[in-house]
Amino acid sequence: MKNVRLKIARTEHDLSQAELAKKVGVTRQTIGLIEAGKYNPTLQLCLSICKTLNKTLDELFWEE
Amino acid sequence: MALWNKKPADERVTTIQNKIYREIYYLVMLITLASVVFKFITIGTSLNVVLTEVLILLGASTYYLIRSTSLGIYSEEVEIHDTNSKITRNKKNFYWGLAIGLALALSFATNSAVNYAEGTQQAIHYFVLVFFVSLFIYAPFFIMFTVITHNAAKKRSDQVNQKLLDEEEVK
Repeated sequence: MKNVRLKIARTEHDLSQAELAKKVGVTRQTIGLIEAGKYNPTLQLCLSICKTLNKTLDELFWEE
Repeated sequence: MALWNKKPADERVTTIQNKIYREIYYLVMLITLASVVFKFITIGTSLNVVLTEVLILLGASTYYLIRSTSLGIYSEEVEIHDTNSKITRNKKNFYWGLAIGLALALSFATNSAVNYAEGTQQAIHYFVLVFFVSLFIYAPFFIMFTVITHNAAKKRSDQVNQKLLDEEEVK
């Protein structure tokens, strides 16, 4: 399942996948795969992404 | 608790790399075992011939046992195994010890019957004699070795886990 909310939050901050990846300390491919729903990040990485994008875990990762 | 300090890496890449290393480990073990079999067939069943392979097999196994015990995952592996299997790990180790003892006794008995006996009757006599003597010597030794090693490792691993839990309660 694609993570559209992550992509929206990233574009709101005017960040490319590579830029977000650099901020949270992973590769661009990993961010791409998270957005595509093909990789489940650890809680540590989820928190790191949330802090970078000023969002809560619910806002980015909770499935409705 | 790493052996050396590493730079922070992408968790997904690290996971995939670890998966590959795991596959490499099995591959190396398989090649080493194949080498032992090949050398036994072509050169002979002497320990000197396969000393390097034995060192690789024993060294890797011992290292894994020590590391998994010191990190506390050994007892968890046993717990998972005992939950999913009808035979407990402890019983399995007992059977493994018995199987190794039996295999050694059989190989020594066959060797004595083939190489030292003159005639069928003497061959049977040598086989039976060497088989039972070897069995009484090696089977208890290997059973004790596997069971004691397992229990000692589990006890140590439980202690490590308990210590980690105690530290968490203090915080």
